[in-house]
Amino acid sequence: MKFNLSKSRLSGYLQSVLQVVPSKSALPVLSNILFEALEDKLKISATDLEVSITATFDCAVSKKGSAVLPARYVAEIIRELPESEISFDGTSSRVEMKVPNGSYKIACFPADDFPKLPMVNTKKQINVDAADLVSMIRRTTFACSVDETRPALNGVLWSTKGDMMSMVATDGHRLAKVSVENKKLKGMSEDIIVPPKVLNIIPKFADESNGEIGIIFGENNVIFNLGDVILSSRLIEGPYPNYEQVIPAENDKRMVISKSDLAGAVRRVSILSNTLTHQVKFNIKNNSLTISTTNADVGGEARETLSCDYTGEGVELGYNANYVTDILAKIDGEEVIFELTNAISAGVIYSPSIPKDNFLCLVMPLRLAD
Amino acid sequence: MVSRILLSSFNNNKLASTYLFYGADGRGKWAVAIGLAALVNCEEPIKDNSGKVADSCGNCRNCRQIENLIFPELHFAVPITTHKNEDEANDLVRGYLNLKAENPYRIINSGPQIVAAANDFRHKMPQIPNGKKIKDIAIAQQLTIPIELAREIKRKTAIRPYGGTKRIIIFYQMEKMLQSSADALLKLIEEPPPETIIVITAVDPDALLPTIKSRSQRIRFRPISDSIIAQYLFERHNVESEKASFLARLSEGSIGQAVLFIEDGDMSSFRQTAFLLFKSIFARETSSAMAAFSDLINPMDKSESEQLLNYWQSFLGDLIRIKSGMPQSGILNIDLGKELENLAGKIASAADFSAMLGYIKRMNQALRRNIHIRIGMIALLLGLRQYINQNP
Repeated sequence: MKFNLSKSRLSGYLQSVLQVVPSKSALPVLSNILFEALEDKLKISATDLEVSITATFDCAVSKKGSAVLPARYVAEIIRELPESEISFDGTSSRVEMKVPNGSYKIACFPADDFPKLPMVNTKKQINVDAADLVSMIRRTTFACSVDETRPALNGVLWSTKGDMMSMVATDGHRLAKVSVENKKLKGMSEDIIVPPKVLNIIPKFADESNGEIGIIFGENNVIFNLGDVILSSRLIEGPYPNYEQVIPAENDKRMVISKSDLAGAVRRVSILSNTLTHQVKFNIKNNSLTISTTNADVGGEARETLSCDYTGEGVELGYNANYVTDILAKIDGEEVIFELTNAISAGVIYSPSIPKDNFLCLVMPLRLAD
Repeated sequence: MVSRILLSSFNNNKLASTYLFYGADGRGKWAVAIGLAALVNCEEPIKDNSGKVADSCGNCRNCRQIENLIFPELHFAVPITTHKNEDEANDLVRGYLNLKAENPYRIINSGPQIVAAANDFRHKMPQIPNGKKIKDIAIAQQLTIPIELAREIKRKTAIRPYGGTKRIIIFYQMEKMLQSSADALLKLIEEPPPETIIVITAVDPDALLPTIKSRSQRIRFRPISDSIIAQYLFERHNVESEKASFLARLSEGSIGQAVLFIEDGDMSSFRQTAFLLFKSIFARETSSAMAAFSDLINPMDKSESEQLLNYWQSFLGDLIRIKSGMPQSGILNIDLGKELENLAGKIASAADFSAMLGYIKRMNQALRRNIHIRIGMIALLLGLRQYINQNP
């Protein structure tokens, strides 16, 4: 293997790939990066077995070959080097990095020890608008569960049906669902559960992909074709719970309120809330919302009243303040709509500027002490 | 190495989703589990004349990764020592696996051995920022499969396997898993996810939860023949054939035991300790026998006591053979022939022999129930001494 390239060119791609290298792993080879010198191209890959990343870019290759190099050492050496041309020369067992003032030699892992990465079959690729995908990701991943006893909820349910594509995430206390129309789906119908880790990496590359991201739905994995960079992730075993039955079809109470006023008040009031439950009380009647909390542990009480546009009987509900502020941060526009039924049913939250069918959030109330 | 049963099931597409391999340590449960992983994941399996798969190739990328125990879809829960954090647990597991990768028949029942292997692994992998050495442990700790490993395996099985590969999960020496951890795995064992085979191993299946036993297909690992063990020692460890035959006979059907004899120096120093203690059962004074027990038995190490009892069973078996007039060539511990002959004279009848064997077996069962080792061993000593005739 022998190739030359500039520090800045390698460094950019190396930083991308490093995002996937696990800080600790039971398999030592995962702390390494696979370098493959191909015809006029260099391909660098890393994986933590769940998410894999490969960056392929033009490079002056004088001898083809591959080597598995320790990510930490390579990254630190490249970072500390001044801008210069670097020449890599070596075999699969030892590689020398020649720089203007000297050289660095590193022992390699056997290339065969590196896990096989998924094959990319672009025939099955569909294209999605990058902005749409990033917005779907930003609006859902926050609601994924971290409780490992229900693994399906640790991921985002990504469904395609007809021309519609939707993503849903829930941890049982809150839910976010977003749908967009995409004429390029070619009528495909898939339901996959994607770990949030790979989805959260995509926005970092989205701008670099000419406005579209290629997606390949596999049986066991999903692949994102971002041009120079290919990201893939294994999927979470299903089935995903039937979330639709928890979305209330009809709510008889409706509150329209300023989003920034509400978010600010909830954040402030919650400072004095119970540190475990973060419970705040919403008392809504006569076009006014009173948010309050009491905390016997610190002897604290807080109360703020905001005006709102409310239709329906007065109601008193308890919410986890963090869940409410998380949701409000994802909703666009100046106002937000709450649709409510009673103190034990889920409240539906959405923006007046986006149809409810395209983006809604759900939050379960907390039971208020009598 | 794959057993014929598994090969036939594989060829008929009838592999079970959960297997329970049971039998004494060192009889190849680990080697067969790894062989099964290679068989189902081999890219170019060897076929016989009828076109059926006869074995894995051993050369493809998957086979080599499986042999080195670094295949991404090969997951393990093995007994390790206590640890400070997840990093340390991972490295102890890797140390254990490296010992097994060197020799799949190796019996690993000593904490310090695992800690040393883990530190060796840390030392050889400077690119992994793991920090300092794991502290050596002073006494031989009881090994357990920690609940974190059980949870980690559950987490991994929630993710779909790599395309085109089968996932193999090995719960090695499952009896060393706490019941609460085993309970947490019941659902996984009952209904493994698609493309997954679970292999549970145990010395005695009765030490496992009935629910685990009932949900798995059992395969018993019988003693390996002396000739196979001798051949193994000759080929793999360059042991001359006469000594190999002797060690094979002594290891009672366990390649792992034979390997222990070799690794443990000339004729196993622990076996000599075991024989010293065995002789103390026959001592004239109870007090001197008890003193030997207090000095030589580690009250914290269950596996050492289990091994000790295994040796005693083997010594007692030889006494029975000598008493029944079997020729010298028929006894296992041939190097101790003269001394065993002297001891055999001190036991009066065949009924006494079988009562003594019964005592040892009951003690073995009691050890699994976590009795106080020192008290148990002294009770055993007193129990056995009643059959010794001091003036034959």
